[in-house]
Amino acid sequence: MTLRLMTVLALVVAVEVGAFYWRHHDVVRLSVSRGTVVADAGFPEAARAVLARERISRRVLERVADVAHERQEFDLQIRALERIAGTYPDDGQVRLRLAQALREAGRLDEAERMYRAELGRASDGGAR
Amino acid sequence: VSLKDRPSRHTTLDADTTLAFVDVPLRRHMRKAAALVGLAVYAVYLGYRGLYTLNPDALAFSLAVYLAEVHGFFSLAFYYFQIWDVRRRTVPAPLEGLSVDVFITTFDEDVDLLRQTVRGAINMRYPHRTFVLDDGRRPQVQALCAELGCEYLTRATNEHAKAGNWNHAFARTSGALIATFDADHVPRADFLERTLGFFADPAVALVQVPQRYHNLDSLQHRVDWRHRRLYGEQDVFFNLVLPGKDHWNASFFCGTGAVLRRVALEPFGGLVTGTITEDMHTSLALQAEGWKSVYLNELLVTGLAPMDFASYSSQRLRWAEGNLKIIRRLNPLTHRGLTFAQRVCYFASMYHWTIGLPKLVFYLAPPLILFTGRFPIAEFDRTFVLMYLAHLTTLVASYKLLAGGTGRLLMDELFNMANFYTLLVASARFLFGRRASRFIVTSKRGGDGGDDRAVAPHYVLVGFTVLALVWSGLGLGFGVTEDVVGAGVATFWAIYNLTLMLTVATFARRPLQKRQAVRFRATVPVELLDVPANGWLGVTLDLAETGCTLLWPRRLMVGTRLRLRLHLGPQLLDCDGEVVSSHDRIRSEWVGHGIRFHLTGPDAVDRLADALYNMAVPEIFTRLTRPSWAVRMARAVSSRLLGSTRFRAPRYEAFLPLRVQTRDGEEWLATTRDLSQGGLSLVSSRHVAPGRLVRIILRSPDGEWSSLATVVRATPMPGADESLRTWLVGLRIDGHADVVGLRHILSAEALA
Repeated sequence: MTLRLMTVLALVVAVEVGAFYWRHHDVVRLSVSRGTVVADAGFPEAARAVLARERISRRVLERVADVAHERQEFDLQIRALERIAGTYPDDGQVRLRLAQALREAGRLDEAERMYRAELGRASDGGAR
Repeated sequence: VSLKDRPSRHTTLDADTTLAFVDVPLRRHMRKAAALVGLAVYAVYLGYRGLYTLNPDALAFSLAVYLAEVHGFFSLAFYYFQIWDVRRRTVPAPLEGLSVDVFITTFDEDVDLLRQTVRGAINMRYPHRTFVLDDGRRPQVQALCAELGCEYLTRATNEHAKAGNWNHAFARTSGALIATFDADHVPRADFLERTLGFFADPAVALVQVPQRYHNLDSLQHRVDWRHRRLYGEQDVFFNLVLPGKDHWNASFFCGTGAVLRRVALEPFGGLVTGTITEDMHTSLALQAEGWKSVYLNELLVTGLAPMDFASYSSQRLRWAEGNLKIIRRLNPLTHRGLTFAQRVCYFASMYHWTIGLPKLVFYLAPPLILFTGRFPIAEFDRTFVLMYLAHLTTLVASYKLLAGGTGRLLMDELFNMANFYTLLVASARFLFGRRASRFIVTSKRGGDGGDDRAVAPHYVLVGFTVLALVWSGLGLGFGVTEDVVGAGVATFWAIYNLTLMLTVATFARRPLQKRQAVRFRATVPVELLDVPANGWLGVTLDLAETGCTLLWPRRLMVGTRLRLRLHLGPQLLDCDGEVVSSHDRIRSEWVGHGIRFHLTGPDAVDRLADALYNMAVPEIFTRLTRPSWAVRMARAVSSRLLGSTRFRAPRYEAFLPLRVQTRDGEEWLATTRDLSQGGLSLVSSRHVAPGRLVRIILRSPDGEWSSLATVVRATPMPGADESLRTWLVGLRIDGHADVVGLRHILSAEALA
């Protein structure tokens, strides 16, 4: 009887894993090795799906930003970094990376504003 | 026949004067203060929860958990109200010349089982008439009654089940007082002597005693023989709640082990029918009429608890459904004639059965959190954690303080888990059911082992929780969520619940007892009459009407036919037996043997049963009363602080047979209960006065040890039957050489 119950439970868990993949296949796709994701032609689609989610971990957003940078897809990189910066407003490194991404994407005015804002924050911190 | 209208010599007692406080005033005040603090902190916590922590993003879920907590608050408040003052009773001497009838209700129970109940009832010392009320209309029960000399009553139908059966007999008998027992509840010889005295108060309608169960391997018991601790699921009810209700004159009839006054029941034609819990229904009706109830917390009757999960659940379903449905017929909150305290106590007894739904909410909450990532609490911040910890700490502390060593929170939680679905069904039937409920007799023998259906809801919960844990693990692993703290809390909660669920499933799936008779832990000396034993003695480890486990210093071949002499206290029982198994004992030379008795007739069975119910059962319940570790430590510390510490050599529980000789040439057999390096205690069938010198001869497989010892105390063992009286005798061993010999035995036996 115990074996039967365990078998049933194992089968249900297997189905659940399938359901998890069906529900979160975009996240799973971004979680494989970095090289694989970089080479994945479906990356932009998966990244956009992830960015459209209401809740997603920083780890996945970092992966999107990182791979998008590698693939020179600056729009996706900027959206990911903006999302991180919105969730972690005290993280100066993210803002600097965002400014860098904006510069690389040719959005120089926005990049300059961000750099200046960051310098201002740094000098305020130093004065304190 | 009405005691209420009898002459004044019967009206000299006010039963309220027999109530005595269990605790000293300081402890009583501490208990009450703890109760108030526990409830106050709980109320503040609920206020904070309601005002600041409801989660608008998951409002339904949040409200469900909150309402479950509110339900818990009322549950606790009712509980503390009931045990506000726990009282015990002093027993007045019974009146002489009362006419007493004894009713034993039966439907389909084994005749062997019924036999010992009927014998126990007949053997009660106070003059009475015994009636067996057989709703099964069985010729063998009629023959049993004829053989034992009691009266047999039956009827053509089974209308109103047990209550109908009882009322049928009520109409055909005339005793002023009626003692009532279920078919498996064996009363002690002094049952009536201990209970009838209360009826000198003309307002007393019923006297109830606790239901204890002698099949300690039942589903609702957990026994720790090593630490001499017993947990019974109903201990809190019978040791705490009913004595507490008794303080409020709200203790009630529990269906068996009670004496009722005929004149009080006459307006109802006996027990009140219409629900499947006629006992509580009747009590409520009686108390509304102004009658008093008495609860006497003494071990005067023992019965059988359900062995398997299906029987257990079926019994609980009947109790829950019946108690809830009483509200429809006789609502204690609105029914006229009850005092405020009685209203609260009766309502509390009904409210208790509604915990199924709140418990389900608590069991479903962790998996829901893990699946959805949404919490029933808006913000899991420091304030909440502090409030929750304060609430939890005061709750546990007040519960433990008020329970006084009776309740065990974890075990109570376990049985809540075991019962949640049953109580859910009962609540649903109460709210939506329109059909009349059926009285189902609880099986005491256990089912056929197909218990998985009874725990199917628990399996579903296990599955749901496991899936939630997997889902949450996958989510955290792949980064769908990053709320490690939230998931961690929910995981901890889920694993706690999962442990309870799996333990319940393990209960239900445990191998069922296949023996026809209950095996009692009973250690009596045994001689083998036709084995050249050279003075060897054996001892039983357990004993039943059908056989025993015999510890013998040498191996006996399986299949060997034996002639045994059992020393049942002062009585000897010679019987034939056969060795059916043998097994070595770890770290001991003694060999355990399974023995099947071939008893020659009902007389031998009856004598053995008498010894079991009058010697073994009282000793078991006395032995298994060791306080918890915390209580023992507290006592040790307070003794040390008060300077009353007494240093004693460590004692090792050991059950060994030995011979006791006096200088007058008397010799008898006894069994040790514990050994230490300075002495031993033994159970003796003869009284030996303190100060006397005796020789004890103990033969173990390691050799013979003999010593002179001085009796330091001799106290009677519990039990009501004088013909089976035994004494616990403490012996001090004088002389270094003797102690060295005993130490050798100690090293072999104490470790065994």
